[in-house]
Amino acid sequence: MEDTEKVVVRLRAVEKHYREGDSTRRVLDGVDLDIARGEFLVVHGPSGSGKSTLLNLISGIDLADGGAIHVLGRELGKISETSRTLLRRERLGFVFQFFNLIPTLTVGENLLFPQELVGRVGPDAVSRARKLLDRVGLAQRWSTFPDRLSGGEQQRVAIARALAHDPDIVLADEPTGNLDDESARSVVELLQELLRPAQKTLVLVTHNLALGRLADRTLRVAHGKLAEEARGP
Amino acid sequence: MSVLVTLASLRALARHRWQIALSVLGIALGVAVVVGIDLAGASSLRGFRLSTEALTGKATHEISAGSAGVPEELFAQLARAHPALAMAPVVESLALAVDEGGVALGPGRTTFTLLGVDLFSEARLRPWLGEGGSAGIWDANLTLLSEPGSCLISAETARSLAVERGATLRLRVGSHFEHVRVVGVIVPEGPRATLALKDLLLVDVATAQELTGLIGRLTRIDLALADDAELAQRISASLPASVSLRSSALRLAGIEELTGAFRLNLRALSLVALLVGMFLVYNTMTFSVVRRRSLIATLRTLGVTRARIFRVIAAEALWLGVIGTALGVWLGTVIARVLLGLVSQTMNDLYFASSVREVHLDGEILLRSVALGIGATVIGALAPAFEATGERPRLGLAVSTLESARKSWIARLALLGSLAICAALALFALPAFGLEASFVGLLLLVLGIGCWAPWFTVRCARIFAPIAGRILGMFGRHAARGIEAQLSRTSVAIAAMAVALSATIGMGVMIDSFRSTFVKWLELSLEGDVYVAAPTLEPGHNRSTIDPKWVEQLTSAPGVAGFSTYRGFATHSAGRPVQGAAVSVNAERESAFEFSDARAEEVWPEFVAGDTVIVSESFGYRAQLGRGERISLETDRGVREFLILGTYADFASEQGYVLLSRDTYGRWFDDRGVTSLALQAEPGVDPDALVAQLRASLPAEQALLVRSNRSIRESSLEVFERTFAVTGVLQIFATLTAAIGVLSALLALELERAREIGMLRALGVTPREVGRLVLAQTGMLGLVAGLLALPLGIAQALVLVLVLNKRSFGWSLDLQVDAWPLLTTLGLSVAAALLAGALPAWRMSRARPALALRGD
Repeated sequence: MEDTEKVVVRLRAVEKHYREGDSTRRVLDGVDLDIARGEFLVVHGPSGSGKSTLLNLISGIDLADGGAIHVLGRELGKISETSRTLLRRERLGFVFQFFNLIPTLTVGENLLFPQELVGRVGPDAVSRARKLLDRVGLAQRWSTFPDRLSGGEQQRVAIARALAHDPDIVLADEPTGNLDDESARSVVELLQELLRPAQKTLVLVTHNLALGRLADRTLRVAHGKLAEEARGP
Repeated sequence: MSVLVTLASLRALARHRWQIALSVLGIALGVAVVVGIDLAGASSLRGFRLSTEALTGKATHEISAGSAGVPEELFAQLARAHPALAMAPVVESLALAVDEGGVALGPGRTTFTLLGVDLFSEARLRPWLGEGGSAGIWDANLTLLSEPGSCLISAETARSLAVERGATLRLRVGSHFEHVRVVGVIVPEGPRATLALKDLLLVDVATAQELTGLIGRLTRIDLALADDAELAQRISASLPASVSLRSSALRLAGIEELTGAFRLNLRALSLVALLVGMFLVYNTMTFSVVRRRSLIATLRTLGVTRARIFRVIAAEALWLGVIGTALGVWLGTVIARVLLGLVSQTMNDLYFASSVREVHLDGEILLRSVALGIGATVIGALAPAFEATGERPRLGLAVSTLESARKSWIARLALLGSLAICAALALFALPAFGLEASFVGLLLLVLGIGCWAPWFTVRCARIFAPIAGRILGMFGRHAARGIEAQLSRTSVAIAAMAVALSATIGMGVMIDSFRSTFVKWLELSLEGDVYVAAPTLEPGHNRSTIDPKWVEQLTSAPGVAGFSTYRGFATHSAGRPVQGAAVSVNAERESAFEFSDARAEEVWPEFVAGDTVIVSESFGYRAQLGRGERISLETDRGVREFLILGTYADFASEQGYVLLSRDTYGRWFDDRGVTSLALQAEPGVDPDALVAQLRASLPAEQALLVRSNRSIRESSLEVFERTFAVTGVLQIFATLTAAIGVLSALLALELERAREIGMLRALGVTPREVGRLVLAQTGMLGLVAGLLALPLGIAQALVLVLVLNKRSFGWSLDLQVDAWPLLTTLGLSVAAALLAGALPAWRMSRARPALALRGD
């Protein structure tokens, strides 16, 4: 119990491989990893190294070919698809590289959507969504459709959406990949600013090595293995 | 390079086999319906035409008269005056082979042509009947001469009736039952003899006269005059006033003209299915272009010209068209076999007696359908091909960007639609435009309203969004707005569905209007309580007669308070055939007519007194004649002019009638026959009991039909429903094609929305919720299509009722729009869309989110 309180994600001997034509490519090969509550973890590595795969496995949208993954005390391989989905909708938040806001919903509605999924509707939901939007500096864009926003603005809405249902863990897949350096830095700072005080865990996958400096811990994925990188001075 | 361009493009296209298959199926169904309808109609008519031509033989002209027939002395006179001329006397009637109980024998209640000929006159007109014709025919013919009451039949007929040489056949000829002995079974040699002997009972002319009651008279004299106009004129001038010489081809031409409107209406309806198929091709090709935008941009960047890209896309469409059309033509022949029964039945009910059981693969129809199918496919693919080549070579252009660009077309498309609707209205409003122009107008109207589909879709989606949001939350809102967001895909599916459904509504409203007008007319025109008629085997018009002694007995039977008589006859006006009827008038009959251009009290006194007639609405429309004008009719005293007193509503026959009073008919025609009697029952007498009493009083050899008012009404409505049965089949095909269109559009959307679905799944939306989301959207698509189909369907109904029926048949119908069928269509639309959406919903809910998120 105590362990679960501290470690929110635990990977043991996790394997994942993809078939590519006649051959099989091992993306993750016996990976072990513990992520603590409130930790800000950055994962980086070259293209195709398995960074996003790691995130997909933690979120349960993909399943490992070997080993065990525990998220918030539940082993993903041993629960049903529906249970994994419900775990995701209630306890996890997602931020994508291409923002992936729902284009047919307004900014406000995008923030209400994950709350509606967990059964939170009405004035409380609206109030929380408005507060979050205010925190990301877009209070005036409540009724705007996503295609009217700049890339940076869209990502800030995506961050607000990821937090709207008050998840324990936020998984961010290249959230700055489509942004210029300045916007990228401001997005990560925003994530930290919103998550740290609430003791939320953030797992951020990125190409951008510079972002590692903001993290509690930085891991590098290469050749199917995870390696912790030493923090600089 | 050109091969590689094609290869790259084809491989990209091949990734979407479902889309291609559905598109091919759409075209195939469209073409199949067109082929099926055309082949069934043409086969039915061809059967009649070929047997008529075969029976006509080398005759070019015929001498005929009214119901009384041609005096047989005339043949002898002509033979003496023109010894070198090939001519033959003919007595022809329709007959039914029946058992002792009066029930028809043979498959499909075959109606036979009873042909009475003079063997020695036939050699030069119908050589297949003479010496040197089919094996044994000459000897058998000689037996016909020596044995009264004998007949010849073909081996095929003998098989179908299960009789052999020497057997006795019981026949119903007009209102009599008669017996003939089969003295020969002929195995026809050669196609002409086979056709001519099909469903033929060949008898000697004297036997035929006895069987038909035409003692001393002939139905006609056939002559081979070739192109000798001068001889024709001389013969014509020498004839007595009661008979006329006319071209043999006119009889056939009349039937073809008569059935023309019916066949055209069916063909127009079948084209709806093809139009829906065209939407499908447009959808598939647009989809394939959108999916390959990256490839096209790459090719353009590498220097491939626009013309080359255009050719590749056009060639793909051409192939789709060729495969779809080939499949459609094959499927069409299958459908034709199914429809042949329905179409033939209608032809038999309304136009001519024919027993066609096989579909003839008419090369012209097949070629026309191939051109139509391929042409429709290429036209459907033109816009996407232009779109592909018009695009600047930009890589990675998002679908949403393309959708935004397309939205700018909504207003322009609506304007184009308005222009098409205006052009359609002009074609309907101006009487100078004929039936074909009306169908072009209908097509323009459908396309015009179809052009409003994107605008209508956007408006509906915006109205639905808050409502759906209230019911289904964000899912509902997302589903409704998704319809607008993917407008290029959804609006085409909606347009296709709306066009198919509108045809259902249009035809449904037209049939309901027709039925209600028809029922009203039946109630008005069936003035008697009981009807007695000589049965006829000739569709559309009854010229049989009731024996005068039975007329006397029936009209004076106990329980009969009054009666009126009806006599059908055929004559000509300005060389064209006219169906006439002589009616006796009493108070009940006067109330059975409704005049569109005259008051009843002005009509009846003059109708009884003078040389006047009244004409049915369809006759007036075809002949362009009405009240106050004069019509010339060939009578037994020569050609006479009659004043038209009024035009009355009538749905008994589409060629229409000219009605004379019995007195007027008696003055100008020698015939005294009665075809049917309308009897009024005395007060308190049950019509059904009177029917039973009258039937019991008739002897066995009389085949009179005694029916109550209610029974006639029911059988008339049966014929009515049978006539429109084929439209039901066509509607099913059009709706099926539209449902395929929706399925195709949804599968295209599935691919385009893969990433969005992946993201939703990542956010915690369960597969079941994804399925519900997709179904909610498809349900809304169906609802929008249904809503668009309502005005389009009612507009089509207006055109069918007010313009096309008038121009096709000359009938005026009262428009009848009931809410229930409209609501049913709306329900059907939603149900069809949900059904079509089930597969994409299931597939999308099963999509693996990790994979979906990986690909753009």
